[in-house]
Amino acid sequence: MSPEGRKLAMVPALNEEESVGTVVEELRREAPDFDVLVVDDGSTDATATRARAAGAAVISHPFNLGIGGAVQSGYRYAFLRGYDVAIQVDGDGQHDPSQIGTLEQELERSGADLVWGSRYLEEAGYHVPRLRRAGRIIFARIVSAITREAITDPTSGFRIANRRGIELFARDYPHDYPEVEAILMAHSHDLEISEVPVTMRRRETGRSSINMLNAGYYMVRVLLAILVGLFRRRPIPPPGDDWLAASPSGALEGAPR
Amino acid sequence: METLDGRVQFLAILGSALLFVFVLELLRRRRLAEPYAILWLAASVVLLILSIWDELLDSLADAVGIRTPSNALFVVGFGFVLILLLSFSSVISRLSRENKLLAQEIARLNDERGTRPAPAPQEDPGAGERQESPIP
Repeated sequence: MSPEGRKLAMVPALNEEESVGTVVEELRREAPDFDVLVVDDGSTDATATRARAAGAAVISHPFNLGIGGAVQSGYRYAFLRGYDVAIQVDGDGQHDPSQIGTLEQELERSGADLVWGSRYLEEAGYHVPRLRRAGRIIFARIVSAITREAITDPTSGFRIANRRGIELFARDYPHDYPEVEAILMAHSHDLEISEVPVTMRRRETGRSSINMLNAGYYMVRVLLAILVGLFRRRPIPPPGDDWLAASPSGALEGAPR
Repeated sequence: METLDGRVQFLAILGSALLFVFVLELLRRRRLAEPYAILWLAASVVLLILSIWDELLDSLADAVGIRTPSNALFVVGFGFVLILLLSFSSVISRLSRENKLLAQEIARLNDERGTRPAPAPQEDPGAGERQESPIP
């Protein structure tokens, strides 16, 4: 069992030096039973230093792996260090740490393996670009149809996973626009999923990874991934005991504490 | 102005349809990542459309002054080949940069932990110009 505790908050961050310190401090204040890990995805600014100064453990990628790679690093860390619960929190401050309790309760109440917060309720002034909203509605319809559950916000990155979820995502996680695909991946591996409404804040800094220009490309990519995913049998064989720990590289051994 | 020969059209449709299905199958088996698959799918879809809808191909050929539509199809296909090759060069460049960074990072970690790198594998004559010893 992990000496650090049993719950981990993972914060993927790319060049978020302005906000990452605040996010870490807030996490430690609002969710004191969580260890905080910042996954610095090849930032060129002081993200790692600020995160460490605020009291987080930090792993830094030598170059940018993209959001999927960063999140998966977090899950690998959680898996290898024996965490039982891991929560993803964005480094830009849009996820409110005081809402973590809501996600945790839903994880317990529903018995699901993966729970995410839906921006069902948005704070006044939270501006969602129309394209983004349209995309969310389309993906919500598709994901609802495939999983046969009423899902409103499959693109939310504010999500919590239990040990089964951690194990699946440590083993395999989609690459560039991973949120929707990750839900479908969990579903295809017979993990239980659940959604709970949360309030989210306006981003403190930084822009969405999805802007108007690449929105079309994003749609095509994710739709293709969903479509192809439907025709995959189980994407990967069911987990063995030590599949990851047994990897010769000793994947995360060098991670700072 | 010629039109597309029936046999050529049949072959073009068959070829681009097969390419399309093959790319999807590679994607399904996770032998191909989406960004590359998208380029290939775009190429096969455009070629498929142009070979099925021969009036479009005719007007395209006419517009750019190519006399035989089959040549226009060839030019479009060649254009895609160029784009794909260039994208490979770009991806390879990125991969070698990242590979170098990884090697440097591993060297740094070995140094930090006082470990030695594993012995290098037997020299492989196919490894190319970066080898220091002359290749027999």
